[in-house]
Amino acid sequence: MRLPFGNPFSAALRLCFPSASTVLLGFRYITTRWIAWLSVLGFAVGILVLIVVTSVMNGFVKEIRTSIRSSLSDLIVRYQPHEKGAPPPDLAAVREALSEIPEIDPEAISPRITWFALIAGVGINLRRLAPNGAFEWTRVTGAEADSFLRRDEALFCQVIGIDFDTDRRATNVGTALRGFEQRPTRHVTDYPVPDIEDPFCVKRPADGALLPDQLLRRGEDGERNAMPGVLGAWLAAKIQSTARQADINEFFHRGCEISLLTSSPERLSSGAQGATLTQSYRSVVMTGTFRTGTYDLDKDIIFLDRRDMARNLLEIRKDPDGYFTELVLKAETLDDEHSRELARLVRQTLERKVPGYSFPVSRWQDERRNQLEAIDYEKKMMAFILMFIILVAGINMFTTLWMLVTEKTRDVGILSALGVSRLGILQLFLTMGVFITLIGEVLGFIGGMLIVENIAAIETFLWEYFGFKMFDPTVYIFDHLPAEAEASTVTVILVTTFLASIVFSAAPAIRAAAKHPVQALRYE
Amino acid sequence: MSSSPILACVDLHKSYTMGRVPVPVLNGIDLEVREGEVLGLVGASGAGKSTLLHLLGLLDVPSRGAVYLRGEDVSSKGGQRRSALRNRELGFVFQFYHLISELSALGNTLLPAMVAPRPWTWLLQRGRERARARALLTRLGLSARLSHLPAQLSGGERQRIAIARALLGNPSVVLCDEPTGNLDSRTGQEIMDLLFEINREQGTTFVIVSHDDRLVRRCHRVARLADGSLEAVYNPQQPPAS
Repeated sequence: MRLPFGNPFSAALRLCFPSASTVLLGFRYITTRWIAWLSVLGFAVGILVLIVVTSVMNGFVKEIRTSIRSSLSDLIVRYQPHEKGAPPPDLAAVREALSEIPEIDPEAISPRITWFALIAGVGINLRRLAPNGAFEWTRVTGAEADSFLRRDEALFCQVIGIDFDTDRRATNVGTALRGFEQRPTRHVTDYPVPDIEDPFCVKRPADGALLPDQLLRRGEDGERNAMPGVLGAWLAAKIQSTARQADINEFFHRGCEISLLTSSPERLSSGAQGATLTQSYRSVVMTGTFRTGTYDLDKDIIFLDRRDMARNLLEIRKDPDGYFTELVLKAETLDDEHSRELARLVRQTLERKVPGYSFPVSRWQDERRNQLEAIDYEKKMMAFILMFIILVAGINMFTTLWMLVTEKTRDVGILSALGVSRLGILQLFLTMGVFITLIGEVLGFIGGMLIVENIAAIETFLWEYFGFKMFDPTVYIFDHLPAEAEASTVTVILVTTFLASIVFSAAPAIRAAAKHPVQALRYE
Repeated sequence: MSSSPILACVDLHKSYTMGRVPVPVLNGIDLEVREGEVLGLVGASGAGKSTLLHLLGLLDVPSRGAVYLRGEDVSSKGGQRRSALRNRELGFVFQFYHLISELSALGNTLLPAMVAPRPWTWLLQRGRERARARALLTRLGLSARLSHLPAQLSGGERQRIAIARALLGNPSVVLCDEPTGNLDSRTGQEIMDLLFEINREQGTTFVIVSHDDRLVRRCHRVARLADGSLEAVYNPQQPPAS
């Protein structure tokens, strides 16, 4: 039996290399018909949407991973004493034990205290130039220690005591202080700390103190000391908004105070009748704000100096400088399997070297495993669902080519008379499908990449000119819309679409090639 | 004009199937086309002229019999080979011009030259082929119409482009299916003059299907078909008594 296209292997090879007439006619047929441009548009929109959506999803996944990892550090070591009420393990001994593990950076072993409090009120101090030429401080009326509490509007917050010098090596706290530079946003007001090397410094090099002198004195006159603290930018925004509701119309700014209502671990454990909570007010003065980019963190966290927090907020009497609730560590190993082994090694080493305690070690991946897996799954599902856009574009192209075969039946006869084989006719309509797809892919790719690269500007434009809220940071965990095109994902989209287009052009092409030349020449 | 046959058919049969009934169109045609001659094919409608032309032009395959091109049986060749022969050895001129509406006069003329080469090969020979096509169109009086689309041209001009397209590859035989059938009398006369002029100057062989007596009378030989059979082959200056 003689095959219509001759040897299938040489036919397949010839099919990949169209003749000059095929390329010319394919291009002319496409570019002179608006319906073909509609098919191009279908592919362009499909590719654009796929690139934008997968890039946003990809951005989300990466941002979440980076954010979780950097804010949690690589490893988090907690402790549980074997005896109830035992003091925390000796920090120096823990450090020494950890320093023996080569994968752990000894400079990035940082103790932390994590505690909880309610923001009970706000103290807004205004510095004004007095007639005598000196600065004087005045307290805004109504801005008292319990001004929020009295209106049932106290805010929950997480207070974290850090050793800034080591913590900045183990976590992203140093980067977060520069969050205003890296993640410009219109949603919140940033108050950069005066000294990036010492975020708890209340002196501003340029114009002196942030606070009245009496608030800066420590341990004198029995006055409560105001602890310098760095607030999440979204927390500062919440305080400002709550202050407005409490009829305090001055801005909550750098140098203002918040009063924290809290208790202490010692008070909890030494209660006469079991665990009783004795509340106390403490003042924190805001030296500035930070932004990790993760809304959940930026709306809840206050960073204090660990030693200051142990002494003045938690009132730890016995060795306050050595008090900690957890250690954050930076590891050299990043991949999943090795970090799991390292976590096991850390735990075993600590339990051997520091007896009397067990040391649960968690990795950053473990802390938010469900969240990470859910987002990764959503990304794949979204890409799968969006591939149906390509299906629609493919059907659109199929219809266009099918109509073109009917319209160009006589041309099939003419081309046959000029010496174009059936394979050449097949090739012509496949080439048209390829042209439609390639032009659509190029346009979609350019459009998609432009949107991905300028997504923040587009979001701001839509918000400012049309009031359309494309991205609500209070709904998502970020304060900006992340988007990052991944070369492998974009390649998969383009290649899959290209292959799909071959499938969709095959039927019209076969129909055209099956036409008898003489009947095609007589077609009216 | 040489007397050796360039194109010939032997015992050529063609039948189509209507439903389940075979309908014979050609019944054993034996015909020779000599190199350099103009052979007219005449006959009543339905006599099988166009079918014979399509079989000679390798656009269709015979039910029985064979077509010989320069002595080689070409009707039994595969589709690819027959397409290549059509491209290299044969030219076609149709009654309704059959130009590609998206291409200019020059583009239509160049089309046969673009069928074989790949795009990158075409880039190398494009300049030479364009020059040839321009020269051909200029000779046919279309130098001012090179970039015009078929829709912007008259019937006579379109047929000249079709002739230029058929001649570009210097084919062995040009097969014309009623080339003046869709033209007014004066334009038809011009096209006739042009075909015979090309035959005289270049020695191109023509097989022309026509109902036009003026054209048939100028042919070197005429083959008359009746009911699918070859009734007579004669010199038009001395027609046999019908």
